[in-house]
Amino acid sequence: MSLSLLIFFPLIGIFLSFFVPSLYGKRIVLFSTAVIEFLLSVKLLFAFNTQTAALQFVEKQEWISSFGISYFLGVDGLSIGLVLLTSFLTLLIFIYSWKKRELSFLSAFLILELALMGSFLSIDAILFYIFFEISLLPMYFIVGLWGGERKIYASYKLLIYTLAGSLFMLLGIIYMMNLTKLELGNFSSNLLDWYKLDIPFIAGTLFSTQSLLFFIFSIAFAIKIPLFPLHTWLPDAHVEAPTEGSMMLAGLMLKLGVYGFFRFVLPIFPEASQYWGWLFIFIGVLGIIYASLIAMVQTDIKKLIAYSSIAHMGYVIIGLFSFNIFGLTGAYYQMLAHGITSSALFFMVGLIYYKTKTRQIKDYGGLASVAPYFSILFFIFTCASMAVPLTSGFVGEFLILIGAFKLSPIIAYFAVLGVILGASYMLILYKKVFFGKISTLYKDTSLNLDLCLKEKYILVILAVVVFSMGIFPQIFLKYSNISLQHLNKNYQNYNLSLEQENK
Amino acid sequence: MNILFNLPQVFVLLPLIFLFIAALVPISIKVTGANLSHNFITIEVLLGILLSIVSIFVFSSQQSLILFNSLKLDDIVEYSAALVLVSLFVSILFLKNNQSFTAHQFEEKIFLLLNSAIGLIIMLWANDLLLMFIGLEYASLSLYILILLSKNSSFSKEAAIKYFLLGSFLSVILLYGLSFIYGSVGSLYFSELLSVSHNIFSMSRLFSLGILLVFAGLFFKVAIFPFHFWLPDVYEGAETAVVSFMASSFKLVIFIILLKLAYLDIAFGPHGQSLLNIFEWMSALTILIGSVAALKQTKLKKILAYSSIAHSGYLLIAVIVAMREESSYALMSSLYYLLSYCTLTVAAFGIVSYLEQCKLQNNLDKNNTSDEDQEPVLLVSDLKSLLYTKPALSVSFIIVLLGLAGLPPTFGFFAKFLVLLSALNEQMFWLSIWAIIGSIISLYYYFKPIISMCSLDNDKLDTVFLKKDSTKNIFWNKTHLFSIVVLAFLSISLGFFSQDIIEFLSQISNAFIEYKI
Repeated sequence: MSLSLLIFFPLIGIFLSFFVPSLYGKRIVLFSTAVIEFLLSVKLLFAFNTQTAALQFVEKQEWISSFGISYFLGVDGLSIGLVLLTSFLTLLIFIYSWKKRELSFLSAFLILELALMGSFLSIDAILFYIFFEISLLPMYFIVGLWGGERKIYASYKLLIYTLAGSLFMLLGIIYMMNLTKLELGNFSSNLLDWYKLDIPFIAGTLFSTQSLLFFIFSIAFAIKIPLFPLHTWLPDAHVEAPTEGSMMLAGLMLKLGVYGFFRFVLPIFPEASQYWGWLFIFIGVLGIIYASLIAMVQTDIKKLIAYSSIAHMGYVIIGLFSFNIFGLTGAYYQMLAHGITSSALFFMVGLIYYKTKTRQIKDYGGLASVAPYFSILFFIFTCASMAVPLTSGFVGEFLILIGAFKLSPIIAYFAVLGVILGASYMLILYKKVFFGKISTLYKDTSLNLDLCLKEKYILVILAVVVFSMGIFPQIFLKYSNISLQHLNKNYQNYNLSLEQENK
Repeated sequence: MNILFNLPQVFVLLPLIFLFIAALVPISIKVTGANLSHNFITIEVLLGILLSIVSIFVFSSQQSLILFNSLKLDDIVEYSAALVLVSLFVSILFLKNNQSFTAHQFEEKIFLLLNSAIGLIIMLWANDLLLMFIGLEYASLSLYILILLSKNSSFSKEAAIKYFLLGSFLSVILLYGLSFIYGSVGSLYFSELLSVSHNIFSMSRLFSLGILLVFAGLFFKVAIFPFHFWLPDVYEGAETAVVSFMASSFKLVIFIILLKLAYLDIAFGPHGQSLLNIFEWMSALTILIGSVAALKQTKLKKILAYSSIAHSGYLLIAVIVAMREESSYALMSSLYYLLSYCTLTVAAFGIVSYLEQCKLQNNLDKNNTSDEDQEPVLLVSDLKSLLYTKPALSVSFIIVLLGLAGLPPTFGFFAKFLVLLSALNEQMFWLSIWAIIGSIISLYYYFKPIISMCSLDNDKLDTVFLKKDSTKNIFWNKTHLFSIVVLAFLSISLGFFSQDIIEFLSQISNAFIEYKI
């Protein structure tokens, strides 16, 4: 099982599609690339050893050895879930749109998949950075070319906002490389070397090396998540992005930021993250309440769900910085659950928008009587988003709240407010759109608003995942459990061993 | 050290002699009244350049100081001279393709272009700073006339006059600075300046003033902040193929000279420190001007011109690092940056010149008037839907623009990475943050053409560019396109071979530094 194959397989698929003469054939090649990529990641999941926190399936190759940059791949409990989520969502997107969309659109998604896989699997900072930035380019084109009316504005905002963070992170990475030169004697961008570093930290001042580096990295990832004051690019990008783009953006791009916290910020800057953790928890709580309140007054369905994403990501931040196993596990679980739920919600909004050409809440009403299947499935995902027990959202939020309570009950009190607010905005949305008077928009027309067979399949698969994540969390947690416990136990001297490939 | 004038030393000059003969043949035949075909001239000149590149490496001298100490050869300057010639080669390919429409004074242009390259190589090889000045003037004078010849519009006249007046003014300042240096040290030989202890330098106020004036003269040529005003106008007025030579080679050579001067230990002592402060400010402001001023531009060539100013700023960071530290990192990283910058710039202007030609042909086909001899102005909005009519060209252009913006995985990213690495290694946080801010701002204008190219607009598909390539002169057209594609391919693939490039560059820059010690 080779991780390189997993990363670069989409590229092979695109390359092969050039040699297929017919348009339909090209589509089939691209579609089967997504299928095979998913099968490869499932194969990785089965081969994955859940009993160890070590890096598995390691591939290491010298690249720019003068500066200690290597082609270093590995998978552990922190990344396996995200790898599977990536290929799963891409597959669903391809099932939905492989016949409808242009070839360039499909290829952009495959390149996005490549970049995301690469970022989740690289254990070298420069390699991670390269994939991290590449992932932005297809997203930029997806929003900028296939987006809505204000697509140029939204795509520029997406691009410049996130690149501003990550370019400063490049400075941070370079500074870390200089630190390895000072402490270990040679340049290195290898994360395993970075974990060994002892970065000078002085409590009480912002201007100590570790605090500054901590903030440089955190801000870059917080923009991606997005955390409350840095979130303004997200609603615009979501509103303008095509449906598939929104799914990818909410389901995976945001997870890149969270993954960055797991992989970089917490283990590399342990003192600083513990010292400044209160700030992030405060911002997280503030973000939950703020985003929920804003979501309540939205008139655009897609924008409402975008703001709900920001609120959910606030929970993740609280979980991350509560520094106990409940918080960490909850944050990880919430991340996966949100990937499923929010992409399902964006998908459904996209479906209905495709037919009615409006996303304004006031244009809808009484949809339940016109489109029963649609309404049932939408309700399931609404429940998941509200964290109703037995759905995927519940487990994560519950664990995070336990973690927050252990840290300080006051934080938990305020964070619980978010649950109440979340229930209210989602239910208000559901009431306005699905109940009440049947809107004139589809009252008289012969528009078939309900789901077609293919859409049903996709959504039922997602609903099954949502319920099984809610009822049997252990199945999903067992892959990351050891790694999360390892991280929780060893903030100060975190390290990863390498496991040789088990034949 | 009395070195005699002998034959092997003359052989070292063979590249220049070959170039000059190659330049002289077409124009002298034209003087006699005979009419040579342009294809023949191009092939003759290209062969001359190839011969010259080969002879640089075949006849490279074992001794470093030759011809009465007036030339100093080492790996860096030989390699840079080869790079100048390669960019000259590619530019002539571009020029030839464009000449199929504006076919006047081809021989003169070739003559001037080659002579400009000769001047640049003399400048690179000069050990005597006075000889360097002569080389600079030789190259510049050729360029002044070349810009004047470019086309019939008044733009080029204005550009040439502007460039000439400001350029000669700054040349005089450079010469004035040289006189100060001579006055304080008693020699203008680079090799002797290197061997004088740096205490003398830093104590002498006269010397610092001289260095400042020399740097001002050189900064003008690469458009560092207070001396940058000429560049956008000149690039706009000059023929694009000429610009692609000018923007790459001229900058390369001047920065090599600046790096050489940087190793004179001028940064030490009280005056040295204030010099460094001035240069740091200049670099920050250059990056800022280059990034901000291009935001509102709609002409593609002007955007690239401002981007070229911003890149000068990044390169100046590397020069400042080289002034501050003795190690070879700074030299290596700036050589790497220069290599990537030359690749990307030649490609970018090559693409613009190709597109201009397409637009011109389209105009001609539409109007059927032969008096439209001017190069058309290429706007960003003209690029709309280009991806769907000329995919190879557009993909190359996207790669090149990403490279200029310094985004991974292009060559430009690794170059920027190395420069920032060497700057942070010297604890230059302030300047690195400026560099990052500049590149964030400049993302906006690099992505403007990209999004314009990719967005599909069916009304515009056939209006600006013909769907098919030009029918005249298919061979040169294809060569032009081919060289663009090769350059774009290089600019995305060379980054992956950074290790080999870094090793090679470290080797040649170590040789340079060891010479000094």
